[in-house]
Amino acid sequence: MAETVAASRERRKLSLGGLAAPLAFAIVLIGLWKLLVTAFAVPAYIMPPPEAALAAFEADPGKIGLAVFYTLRNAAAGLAVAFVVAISLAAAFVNSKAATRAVLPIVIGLRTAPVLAIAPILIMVFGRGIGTAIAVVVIVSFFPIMVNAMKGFSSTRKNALELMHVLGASGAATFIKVRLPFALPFIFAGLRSAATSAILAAMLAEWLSGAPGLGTMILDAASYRKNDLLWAAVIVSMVLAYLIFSLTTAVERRLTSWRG
Amino acid sequence: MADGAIRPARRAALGMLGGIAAPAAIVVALVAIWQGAKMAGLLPITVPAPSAIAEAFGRSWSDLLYHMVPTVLSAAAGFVLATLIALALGAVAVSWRRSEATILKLGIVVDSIPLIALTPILMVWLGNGISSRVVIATIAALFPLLVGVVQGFKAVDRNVSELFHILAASRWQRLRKLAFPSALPYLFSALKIAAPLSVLGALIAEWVSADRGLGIMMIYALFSFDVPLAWLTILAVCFVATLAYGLVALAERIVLGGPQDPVGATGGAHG
Amino acid sequence: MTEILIDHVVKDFTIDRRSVRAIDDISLTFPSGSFSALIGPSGCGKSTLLRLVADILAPTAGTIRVGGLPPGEARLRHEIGFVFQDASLLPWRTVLENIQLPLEVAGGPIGDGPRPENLIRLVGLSGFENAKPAQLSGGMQQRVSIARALTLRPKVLLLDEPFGALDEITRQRMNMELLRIWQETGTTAILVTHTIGEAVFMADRVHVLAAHPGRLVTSIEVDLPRPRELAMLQTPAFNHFENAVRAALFGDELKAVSVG
Repeated sequence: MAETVAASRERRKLSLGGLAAPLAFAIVLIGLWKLLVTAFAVPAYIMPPPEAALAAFEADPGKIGLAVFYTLRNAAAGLAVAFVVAISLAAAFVNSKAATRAVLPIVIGLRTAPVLAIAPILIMVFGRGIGTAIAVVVIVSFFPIMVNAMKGFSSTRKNALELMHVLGASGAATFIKVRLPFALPFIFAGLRSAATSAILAAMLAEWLSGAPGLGTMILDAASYRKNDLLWAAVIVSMVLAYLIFSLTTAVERRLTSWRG
Repeated sequence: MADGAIRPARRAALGMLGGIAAPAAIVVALVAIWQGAKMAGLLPITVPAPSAIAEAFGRSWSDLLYHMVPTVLSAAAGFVLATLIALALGAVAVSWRRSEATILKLGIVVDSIPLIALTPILMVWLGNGISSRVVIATIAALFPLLVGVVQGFKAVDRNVSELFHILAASRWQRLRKLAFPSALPYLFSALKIAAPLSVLGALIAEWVSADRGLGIMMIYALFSFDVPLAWLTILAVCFVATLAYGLVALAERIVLGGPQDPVGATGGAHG
Repeated sequence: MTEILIDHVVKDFTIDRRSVRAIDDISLTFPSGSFSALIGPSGCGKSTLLRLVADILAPTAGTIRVGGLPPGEARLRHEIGFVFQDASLLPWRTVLENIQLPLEVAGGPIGDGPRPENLIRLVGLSGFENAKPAQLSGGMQQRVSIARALTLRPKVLLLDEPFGALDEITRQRMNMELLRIWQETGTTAILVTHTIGEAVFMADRVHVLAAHPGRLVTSIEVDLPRPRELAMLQTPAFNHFENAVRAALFGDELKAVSVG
């Protein structure tokens, strides 16, 4: 599977371009922000100048860093649990016609329901620890992954399944060699959509429960009118969400390059 | 003989999801088990019996209605606004090909902003009124709509497009008789995803700050530890979201004559 | 010796809760080492018949024997090779890896089965071992599919319109190669096709089916010498067999035209 030199060069160019464009975009945005604030003499409580937000960040990078760590940890832990549970359930269901028929409509129905709305219940039931924050992430990420995985597992081409059957392949071999690879693009679509909402879910859970993290930091900064810190935290959370989106997209592209 | 043979029925299993009996039975069974478990004392105090939630509804349904109105209004306004913006941006993206990547990327950036990060800032800018809640509901629903519109406008079959060219159809005829009808199924499946999302957006905005709305009712119930009422408000939100979804699905059924899922797996809703 | 026996086979499908008869009491014998063709309009059940022999479907009534064994047993002994209409390659695997798939499933070669490298040479794909399916033309993909079907040295080769999607010229070439491969491997081959010329050119015996429900009209012995050569296409003998098949396919319609 040797990659040609040209192809690898092409890829490097792409990844560089993929980094340069958002950076340029960010710089332009910051420039506009500065221009806006100075040109119209916007009061700091409406929009602090970029350097104020930067100063707030520099004043206590450890504090913001710790908040990022908590939020990321909760999001990652929740995402991991949701991923494992959703994939195993989807794999189990796809082998049973009756189970698929009974469960898939419920899962699809719940996917469209605003699952985050039940976060307050989870906080009430499980208390205000990190367990709750993770639980919120789990229920939010679970449905997109599960729905896509089920779609993916059942998207396998009929002929490929018949081929494995003619070859006398076991269910496990068929799953590993055919169903799973065919489902990968779907699973990643679900994972990507779950990853961005996992950050949102983690922040919301922190916010509602008061557990430490970016969500609580933003809420506190807003209620104590620490506007510079608020903007610094908001920007950090935006960058974080964008990085996670890009990361999952890159991993997806790499693992499903055969789709061409 | 050939027990191991793949039966065609299994392949069709996912296509035949029309059956509503099995899922409904599961839901009923779950509620019954829930009630039974509560009566057997197996559930914590924070989980009320379904019957207690029903009682709470009987007790405070007028309160619920009072708080439901602004939530529904801001969600609906946000939904409509998001649809209009998505249609406009989508039309630009498709008629001016070079802008498509930029517009979609911008959509991704806006979509990846955690809503709760934006909410406090918008509250400062737009004040504590309904306008800030509408804006948040709009942002919550925008991205799936944008993706659906762009995909839909691009879904025109190439052969049919060539046919329109041969028929010397005008730009307007193309749009009306070709682009719009081929985009409709995509648009509807995006609308179905977006409708509950706009409800969620309105709810999050109300959590932050509002004096009337399901979100603030939920927070009050939570702080006063009125467990059945807290559950009731959450059920009410789910009901509004499901209703929104159902209305779009109904419109889809009327316009297209049935549900269609052309998008396949284009990611899920952002719960 | 691998004779295929189809004895009073009936196959019903359930569509929208209604039972539809796809195959109505067909009995056929495919002598060991012969090349047979099944031809008929769409809906005549020719592909269904092939899938019954491969144990992909189970007959509603009647019995099938492959070398004296039920199809399920023949399948598990890896005696059946199947070539689908679309090549049905796994898109994430290279040419070589696709051809190796049956070996992985079977856990190694059966007896003195051919080596994948030799199969690649046999189907004329040397130099393309590491190409992905997306990089190959339709004809080349189908060659891979044929090589894959031969990997486990099957005694029976089932071909479901293998060249239906190819252009006339490529198809003719592939047919010549298929005949060469068949003669080298000595398998019992069944070809499903909807092209009269192809059926006559390839087969020792052409079975003509009619649709709704699928049933056998007649079987025509093609008494052309082997090896078959392209020049035969222009001989009166070839024409004679073509006309015989055409007459069986169109029946009275044809007569009405020739009178008028």
